[in-house]
Amino acid sequence: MNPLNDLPSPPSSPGSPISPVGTPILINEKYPLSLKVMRLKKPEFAVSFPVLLESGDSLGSTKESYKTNYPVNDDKFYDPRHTKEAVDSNLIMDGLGLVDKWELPNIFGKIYVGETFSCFLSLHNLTFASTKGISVKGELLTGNNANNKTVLLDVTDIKEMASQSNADFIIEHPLSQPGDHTLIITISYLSPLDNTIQSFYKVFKFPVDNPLAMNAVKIFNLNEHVFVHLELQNKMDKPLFVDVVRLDPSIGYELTDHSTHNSGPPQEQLMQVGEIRRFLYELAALKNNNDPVTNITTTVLGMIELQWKGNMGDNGILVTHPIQHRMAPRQDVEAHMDGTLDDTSVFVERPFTLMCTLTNRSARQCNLVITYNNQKMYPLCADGSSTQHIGLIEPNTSVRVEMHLFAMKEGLHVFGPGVIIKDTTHNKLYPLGNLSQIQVVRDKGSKGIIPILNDVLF
Amino acid sequence: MSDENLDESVSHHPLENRPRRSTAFRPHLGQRDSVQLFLHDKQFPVKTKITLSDVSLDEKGVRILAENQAWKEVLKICEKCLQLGSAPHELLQYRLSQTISLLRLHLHTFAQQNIDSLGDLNNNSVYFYEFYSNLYKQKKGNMVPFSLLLIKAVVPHFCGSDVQDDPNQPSSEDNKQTSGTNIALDRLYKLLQICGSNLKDGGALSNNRHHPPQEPIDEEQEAIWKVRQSRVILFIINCHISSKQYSLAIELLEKFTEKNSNFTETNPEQFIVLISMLGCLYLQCGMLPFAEKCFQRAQSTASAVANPHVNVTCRLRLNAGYLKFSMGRYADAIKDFEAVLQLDPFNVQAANNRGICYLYSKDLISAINSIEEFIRRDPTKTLDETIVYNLSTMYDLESENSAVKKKTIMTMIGRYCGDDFPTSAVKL
Repeated sequence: MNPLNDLPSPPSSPGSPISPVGTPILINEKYPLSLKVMRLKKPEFAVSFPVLLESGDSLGSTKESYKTNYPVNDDKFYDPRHTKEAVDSNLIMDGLGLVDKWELPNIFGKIYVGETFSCFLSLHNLTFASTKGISVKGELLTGNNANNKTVLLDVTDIKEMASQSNADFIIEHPLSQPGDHTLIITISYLSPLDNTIQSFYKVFKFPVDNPLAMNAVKIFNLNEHVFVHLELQNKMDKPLFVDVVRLDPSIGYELTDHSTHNSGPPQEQLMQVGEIRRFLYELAALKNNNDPVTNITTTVLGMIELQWKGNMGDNGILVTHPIQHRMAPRQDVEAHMDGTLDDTSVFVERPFTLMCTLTNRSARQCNLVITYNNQKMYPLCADGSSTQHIGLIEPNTSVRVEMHLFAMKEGLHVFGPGVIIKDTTHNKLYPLGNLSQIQVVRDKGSKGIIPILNDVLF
Repeated sequence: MSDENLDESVSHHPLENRPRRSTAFRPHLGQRDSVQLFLHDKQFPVKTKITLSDVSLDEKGVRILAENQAWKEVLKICEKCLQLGSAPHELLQYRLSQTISLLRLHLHTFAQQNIDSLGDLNNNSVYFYEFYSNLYKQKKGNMVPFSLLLIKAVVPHFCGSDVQDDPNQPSSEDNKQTSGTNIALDRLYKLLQICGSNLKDGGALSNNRHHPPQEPIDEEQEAIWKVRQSRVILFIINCHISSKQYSLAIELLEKFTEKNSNFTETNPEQFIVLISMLGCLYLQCGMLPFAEKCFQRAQSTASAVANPHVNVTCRLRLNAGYLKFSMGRYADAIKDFEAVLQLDPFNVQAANNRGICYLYSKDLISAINSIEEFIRRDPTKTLDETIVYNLSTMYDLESENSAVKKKTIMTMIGRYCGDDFPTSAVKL
C-alpha cells in the first residue's frame, strides 16, 4: 500500500499507481524513524512457463532444457530408476507451469466488505543512535465522518529502539462497510536532540467495495409456507468460491433449502466474475393449531449468511440485514385446497369435484355458506346451485367440503375469484382470493364442441 | 558493532513489540566486500563467462554456451551460424535455439517476431523434406521441430494484447482477436488436433470426429506424440491459470490427472507431483476441502510405494505445510517447511514459503534472515527468481536502506547465475 498522501496535502488522484510497500514521505524535516506499510494479502502460487525441448533438438541434450530428470548420455544426469514410461511421464510433467512457490502480492489489490483488512507495519530506526519513548497509534476512519473512528493499534511500551532496528506490528480489522477508508498511523517519540515529544503521522486511503450484489430477494407465499428467492452476483474482479450461503431462519420457522449451490463438479463451484446464482429457501411456520388468531402483519424471516474463501483460504463473511416479510392478514375462516376427488383429472365440459378444507380460526362458532358467482369464476362454474350450505363449525375445527364444478374451456384456470364464504352468524364475508390453479384437459371422448358461453344459461 | 555481536542479536528471538535488530548493512562497503559480508566469507565458484570467441561456430558451440547459461552469447552465435548457412533442418535448429535464448532473456516480443519471420510453419513447402529431394533422399514430411511449433503457439500469451493474429495469414474481421492469450489458446488447440491425428485413438480430449491416420504409426512415434500431446494440454492449463481462468484450469487438470492415473503404477513420484499441483490450484481458489482431498490422494499413492524417494517425502510435507498455512496455522506450517529443509537443504519452495510464513507471523527479521541464510548455503543453487523477488519486497518493507542490500543481491546474481536471471525481480 502506498501512502497516498500525508495530510494536509491534497488527496492524490484515484488512478495513481499503488505499490504494496509504502515509501515514507517525510514532512518538513528528517525523522529518526521510518514507517513502511504493506497490505498482508495472502500470497499466490507462482506460474512459470517452461521452455520445452525434445531430445532431437540441438539444445535437447542439455540439462538446462528439463525440469525433471531426463536420460541423456551423462551418467550424472541419468536416473537408473526410470523406465521408459517413467521417462515419458517425466517429459510430460516438464510442461506443468504451476510452481508451488508463493509470491508476495505486488499490488494493493481490491478489498471487499466482509474481508479482514490486514496490514503489516514496519517501524525502522534510521539513525545510528537509539530513539526512546516511542508510541504507535493506528486508527481507521470509515467514510468521511471523523467520528467514525476505530482504534486498531495503540502501543506505548516501546522504551527504546536501537540503531537500525525494527519494530513490527500487524493490524487486523474486519470490514463491514463499503466506501472510502482511511488508515492513520501516528508515531511519537522523544527527540534525541532535546528530549521533547515529537510526532508524525501517515495517512493511507483505500476504497472498500461490495463483493456480492444481492440483486433480488423475492418472497412468495404458498399456503402456510413462505418461499424466499435470492439472487447473488459476484462483483469481485476474480472468480470466487462461495463456501456457504445460508438462510438463518428466525425462531418459529423451519427451513428447507431448495438451492443447488455447490453441488456440481468442483470447477462449477467457483463463481465466475459477474455470474449470478439463484437460491430458493422454503420456510414453514412452526405453529400450534390451538393458537388464537394473531394478526401480526410484519415478521422477520431470518438473515442470510454468506461465507467465501479467497486465495489460500483468505476468509470473508457477510451477514445481511434481517429479511422482513409482510404477512397476509389471517382470516377467521381459512380455506385450503386438497385437490380433486380421488385425484382425477379435470376434463372440459365434465363435472368434477374439488375437495377443500375450511378451518374456523376464530374463538367462536361459525355458520358458513359458500356462494359461487359464475360470471367471476369463468371459465369455471358451479355445477348446480350457486349457494352451498356448510353448517356450523366449532372454533379451531376443520371441515372438508366438496365443491361441484365444471369447466367450459381447457387450459390453466385460476380457482378462487367469485367464490365467497359467508359467515351468517356474524355476517362476515371471506373471499377465497386466488386459492389454486386448475388444469383442464380435453377428454378423449369429447366431441370437441365447446358451447358458446351464454349468460342466460346461468 | 562487530559481526559476532550483530549475528547474536539477529538470531535472538525478540519479544512481542520489542524492537529488533535489522540484518547486516554496511553502506560504505564496496560490492565485493558486501557480498563477502552477506556470504559470511564463504567462497563459491563464480560462474565462468564463456563468450562466442571461446567456442566453435556450430551446433556444439551453441550447446556449450547454453550449458553455461550464456544466453546472450547463444543469440549471437545463432545469428552468425544462420548467416554462414547450412542444411535447412540445421538452420531451423539455429532459429529454435535463438528463439529459446530470447525467451530465456524474457524478450518475448523479439521471440514472437523471430518466429513470425519464418512464415507459415505448417504448410509452407520450403519446410518439407521433399522440397530438397537432392539433400534428403528418403525423408518425407515437415521438418519444423515440434518445439518451435509449441513456442509459436504459446508466445502470444507472453506478449499480452499488443500482438497481431498470425501476420502470415490474411486477416479477416471474423477471427480478429485482441488478447494474446486467446490467440495462444487457439494455436494450442490446433496443435492438439495435430497431435491427435498422429495417435491411433485420437488421444486425450478427442471427440468423435477423429479420423484415424491413414498411414500406420509405429509405436515409437506414437509414444513421442503422446508426450507432445500431454505437454500441449499442460500448456493450455498453464495459459488458463495465468489468466486466472481457474474453472477451466481445474476442469482440464482434473481430466488430465484421471487420464494419467496410470502414472501411479509407472511413475508414482510424478503422479504425486501432479495431484499435489492440482491441490495447490484448489488452494489458490480457496477450495480447501478439495485441496485436502488431493493431498490425501498424494499421501495414499505415496504409501503404496515401497521405498519412497526423498522427493516424495518432501512433497507430502510441503502439502501439509500449505494446508496449515491456508488455515492460518503459520507456526505449524513453518515446522513442516523446516522438516523439508532438513531432508533437502536446497529446497527452494520450502525456504521461500517458510520466509513468507515468518512474515505472516509478524516476524519480518526472521523472514529475511531465514531466506538470507538459505541463499548463503550455496548461491549457485539457491538464487531463484521468486525467492529474490520476495526477499526484495521484504527489504523494502524493512527499511529505507533496501537499495544497498538489493545491490548486493544483484551482484551475487551477476556472479553466480546465468544471464537469463530476470533482474526485474530485484525491484531496484
